[in-house]
Amino acid sequence: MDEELAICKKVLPFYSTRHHLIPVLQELQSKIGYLPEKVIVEVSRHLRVPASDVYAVASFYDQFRLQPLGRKRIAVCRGTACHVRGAPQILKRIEAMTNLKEGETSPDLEYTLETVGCIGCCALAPCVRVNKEVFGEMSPERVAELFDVFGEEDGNA
Amino acid sequence: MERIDLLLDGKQVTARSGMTILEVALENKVYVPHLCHHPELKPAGVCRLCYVELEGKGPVLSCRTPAEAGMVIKTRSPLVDEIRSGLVELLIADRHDDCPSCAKKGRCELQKIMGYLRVNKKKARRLRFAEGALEPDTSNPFFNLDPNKCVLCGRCVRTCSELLRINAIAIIGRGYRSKVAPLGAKPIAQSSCESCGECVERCPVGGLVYKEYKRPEKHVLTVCPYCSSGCRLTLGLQKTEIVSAQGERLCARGRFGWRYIYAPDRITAPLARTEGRLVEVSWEDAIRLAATHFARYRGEEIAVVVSAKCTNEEAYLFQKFARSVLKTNNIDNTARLSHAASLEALWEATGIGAATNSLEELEDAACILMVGANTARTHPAAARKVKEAAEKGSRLIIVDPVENDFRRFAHLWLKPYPGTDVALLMGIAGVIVEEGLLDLGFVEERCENFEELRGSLADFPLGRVERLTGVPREMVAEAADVFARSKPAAVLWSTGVTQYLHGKDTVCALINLALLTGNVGSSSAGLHPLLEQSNAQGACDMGCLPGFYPGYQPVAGEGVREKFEAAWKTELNPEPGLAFTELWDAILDGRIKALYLVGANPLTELPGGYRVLESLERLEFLVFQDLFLNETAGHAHLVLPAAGFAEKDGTYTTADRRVQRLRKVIEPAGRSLPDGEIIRRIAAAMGATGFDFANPAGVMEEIASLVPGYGGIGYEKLAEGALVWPAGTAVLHKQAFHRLTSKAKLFPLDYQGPEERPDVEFPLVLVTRRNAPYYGTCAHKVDGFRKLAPGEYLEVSFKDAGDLGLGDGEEVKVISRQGGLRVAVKVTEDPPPGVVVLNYNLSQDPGKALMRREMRACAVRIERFL
Ligand code: SF4
Ligand code: SF4
Ligand code: SF4
Ligand code: FES
Repeated sequence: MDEELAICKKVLPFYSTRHHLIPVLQELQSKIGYLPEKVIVEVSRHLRVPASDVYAVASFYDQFRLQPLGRKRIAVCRGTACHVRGAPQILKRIEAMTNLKEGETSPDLEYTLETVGCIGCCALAPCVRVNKEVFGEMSPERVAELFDVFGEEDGNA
Repeated sequence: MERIDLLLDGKQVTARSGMTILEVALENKVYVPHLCHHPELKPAGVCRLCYVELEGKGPVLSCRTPAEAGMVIKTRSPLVDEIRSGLVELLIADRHDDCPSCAKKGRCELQKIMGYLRVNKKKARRLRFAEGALEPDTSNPFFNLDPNKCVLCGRCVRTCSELLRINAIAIIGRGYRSKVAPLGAKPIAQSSCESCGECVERCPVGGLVYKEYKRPEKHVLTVCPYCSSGCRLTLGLQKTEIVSAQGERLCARGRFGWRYIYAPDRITAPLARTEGRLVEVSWEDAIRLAATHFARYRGEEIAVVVSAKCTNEEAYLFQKFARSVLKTNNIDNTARLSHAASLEALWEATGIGAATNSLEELEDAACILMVGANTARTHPAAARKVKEAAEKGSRLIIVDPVENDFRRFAHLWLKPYPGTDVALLMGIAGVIVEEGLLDLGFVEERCENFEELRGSLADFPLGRVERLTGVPREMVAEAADVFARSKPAAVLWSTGVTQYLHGKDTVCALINLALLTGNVGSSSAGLHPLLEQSNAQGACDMGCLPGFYPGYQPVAGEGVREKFEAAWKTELNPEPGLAFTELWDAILDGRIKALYLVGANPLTELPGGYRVLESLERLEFLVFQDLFLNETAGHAHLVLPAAGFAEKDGTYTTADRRVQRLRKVIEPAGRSLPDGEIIRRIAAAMGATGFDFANPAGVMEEIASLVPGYGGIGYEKLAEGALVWPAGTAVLHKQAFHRLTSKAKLFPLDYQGPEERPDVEFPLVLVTRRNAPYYGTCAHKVDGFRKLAPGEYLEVSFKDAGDLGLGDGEEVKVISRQGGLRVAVKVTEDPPPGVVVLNYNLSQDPGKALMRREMRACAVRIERFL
C-alpha cells in the first residue's frame, strides 16, 4: 500500500466523529507534512463527512497545508514595517522568479512561497526568511542575489 | 397548525407558526431583499440583506427570525435601507458593476435588489474595486461557474448537500479568497459533481449560468425518458424548439438528456438494403417491404424485441401485432437484459410482477437492504431517497463487492465475491430462522413452502457461506440481526443482481428475506427492483414477454389464450415464445429466420458468448427501428426511423407502478414516425384489423379493458396527474397475496455460483461498473455527456498491482476465456484483492466482449505490454 494511506490506516482508528475533524487533520499533517487529496478522501470516508467539506475546513485554516512543502520555504514578511518598506514589490519579484504564487510549491518540490505576519526583526525590514535563515534589508535586486546563493548551494550539494 | 397574527408594514397579516418573518412577508407579496434565502433550503443568514425593523427590537434578520404573534414589522426604514445599501455597494464593488454584459441580466436577483434600493452604481465606485478578474470555471459542458459574479450566498452548496446529498462543492478558503469549488479546487468537471444543474437553477446571480440559455416562452409537462423513477419533466419551449427542462429534482439526464432529440445524426427517412447498401425509400415502400416479408414466415420463425423505452400503448400494440398478426409469442423487451427476471420472480412469489411499495415510503424505513445497485449512477432519484432515509436514521445494509458513493451512509457493507449473492442471502436467512428472528405469525399465515425453504437453508451453514462469499461469518450474522430487528425494512436491488446468470435465484433469495421478516404488505417495507429503462415496468406490464399476455397473464394459463382470442377476434399461438437471450441459439440453428428489433442493439448489449454477430449474419430478414443507426443496424435489411420521447403521446409506468402521461411537444424529426404509428401501418398493410386506433388514448382504453391492474386508467384522469396501478394501491398485498392460495411463495434454493471461476490461467475476477451517470436511452448522443464521460479504466487493488508489477495509468491487456481488450490501469484501494473493476460510462459496456453469458463478471488475467 501507498505510504500516506498506510499512515491514515494507523491514525484514523483513534478518531470517529465529525468533531474530530480538526485534530485528525492536525495529526495527519504532522506525520505526512501536508494533506494530499487522497488523505482528505480517506478522512472523509472514515469520519463520514463529505470530502468537499473536509477540504473546505482544511482550506479555511492557515495551519493546514494542501500542498507539500518545498525544500526551501521562502517566507516574505508582510508585517507593517516590511510592508511600508516594499514587501509587496519583493513578493512580486520572487513570484516572477519562481513562477509561484503565494502559498504554492514548485512541482520539483524545490521552493514553497509563503507570506508571514511579523518575523520580529522590523529593524531589518523588509525581510525574507528562507527556512530558518533571515535575510534583511531586501530589495527587488537583492532578491536575485538570494537565488544565486541557492543555485550555488544546489550545485555543491 | 397554529395561526398567528402580526402587523406587517401597517397591515394585519396571518401566518402559520414556524414561518420566518421573511416567509410571511414573501407570502403576503411584500418583497424583502434577500440572496441566501431559498424556499427549499434551510435558512443560512449569510447575505444579511434581509434585515427588517422589528418594533421594540430594532433590525433583525428576517430569514432567521421566527414570526411571533403580535410582532410589528417594518420591511423598509431608513435604518435597514442604509444597512442593505452598504452591503449591496460592497457586492457591486466586488465585480457587479457591469450587468449588461452578464449572462444573468434581467433574471438576476441582485439587479432586482439594486432597483429596489435605487443603489447608485457610481456611488459604489468610490469603494476600492476588486483587482483583476478571476478565472471562471468553464469546464462543465452545460454550465459555467464564474467566481467574479458569485456573491457567496451558498445556495448552490446547500442545494448540492441539503437537497441532493451529492456534496460536490463547498465554499473553500477564507475571507477575501473564498470561493465555490469542489474538492481540491479542481475544475468542476473533474469533481464528483454529477452535472444535474440543480445548483444553477437556484443561483440568484451570474455565479452559475447555463452555457446555452434561451428563455422558454411556454412549458409542457411530460416524463423523463431515462430511468424508471419517472421524474416529472417540464420542458420549456421557444416557438417550436425545446430549450430547457425543469423538475422537482432532476439528474443530469433529466435536465440535459433531451438534447439527443436534436442530434444531427437522427435517422430521418426509411432505408432499405439494395445491393448491399442502405438507401432511402418512401414510407409506402418501406411498409410494403416489411409487410410482404413478415407474411412469409410462420410464427415460430419470427421474433420481435421491443425497447423498454416504448410507451405502454406502443408496447401493447407490438405484442398484439406479434401475437395476433405474426402468430408468435416470440415477443420480448429489452428489460430482459436487466430486470425481466425480477418481475417474473415477483410474479411467481406474490402474484404481481412489480415493486410492492412506492419509493416515497423509503423515508420511514427502519432498515434498507440494497443489493447490487449502483443507485447513484443508475437511479439518482432513488439514491437521494435512500440517502435521506439513512440520514434520518434508517440502517442501510449494502451488499456489493465494490464500494461506491454510499459508503458514508452505510451501516454495514458486505462485499461478497461477485456472483455469490445467493449464498450470502441464504446465509442471512439461515441465521434469521435459526435465531428465531423471523416473523412466525406472518410466515405461518401468509406464506407457503416454509418447510421446504427451511430444508434448503440447512445447506448454508455460516462456515460454508463465509468460504463461498468471503464475507466473515460475524458480518453475516450481524446483517441478519439488523435486518430482522429493524422494522419496517425495505429491499432494493438492481442489475448487479439480475445481470448475473443466476440473478433470478438472487431475487428469490431477497424475496425470501422480506417474507421471512414479514416485510411485505406494509408501508415503508417491501421489495423494490430498481428497473433501468424508463418504461421497463410498462413494457412488461403490457405483455412484451414471451411467457405472458398483458398483465402477467401466462400464455399457458387456463382460459387466458381464449380470453385474448375473443378480445382480438383471431386465433393465437398456444406455445410460449423465446426470450431475447434465447433467440441467438435459435437463429444459429435455423429455427428463427426473421427478426424485428425496435430500439435494441444486441450486438453491444449482449455478452460475447451469445454469438450475436454470427446470428445477425444468418438472418434472412432483419428490420431495425430506432432513432439512430448503431452497430446492429449495419446488418439490417430495412431501417425504420422512429420518433423520440418528445415527439409522441403516450404513457410510461415507473418502477413503482405510477402511470404518467408522456406528451408530444414537437414534431418528429424528418420523416420519422412514432413506433405506434409505424406498427399501425404495417398491421394495416398485412390486412389486420384491431389496429385502427385514432390515438394512443384509444389504445389505453383497450388496455384498461384487458389488463386487470390497468382497469380504470384513462387519459382524462391522467391529465390530472399520475395514477398508480392497481386501483391506486401504493402498498400491495396488504391483506392477501394475488395468488390462487392467497399466500406468498417462499423459494428453497441451491447455490449455483458464478458462471466463471478464477483459476491458474485466469486468476482474477473482473466486474464491470458504470462510473458516470450519463448513460441509457440516447445519452451518448448528447455532446455534453460525451465530454463529461471519464473514459474507461480498470481499477486494480494495491495488492494485485504490486503482485503484477503494474503502475498507475499503465495500459494493459485484459484477457478472458472469451476475448480481450486494452485498457489503462488505476490503482486504488477500492476493489478487494483478486477483483478488478472495469469502469465504463455512456451506453456501451466494453466488458461484454470479455464475457460469455454472465453480463457482469468473468475470470481474466492481466498481461503487460512489453
Ligand atoms: S450540478 Fe448538481 S451535482 Fe454538480 S455541483 Fe451543482 S448541484 Fe451539485
Ligand atoms: S455560485 Fe451562485 S449560488 Fe453559488 S454561492 Fe455563488 S452566488 Fe450563490
Ligand atoms: S433519469 Fe431518472 S432520476 Fe434522472 S431525471 Fe430522469 S427519471 Fe429522474
Ligand atoms: S436572506 Fe437573510 S441573510 Fe440572506
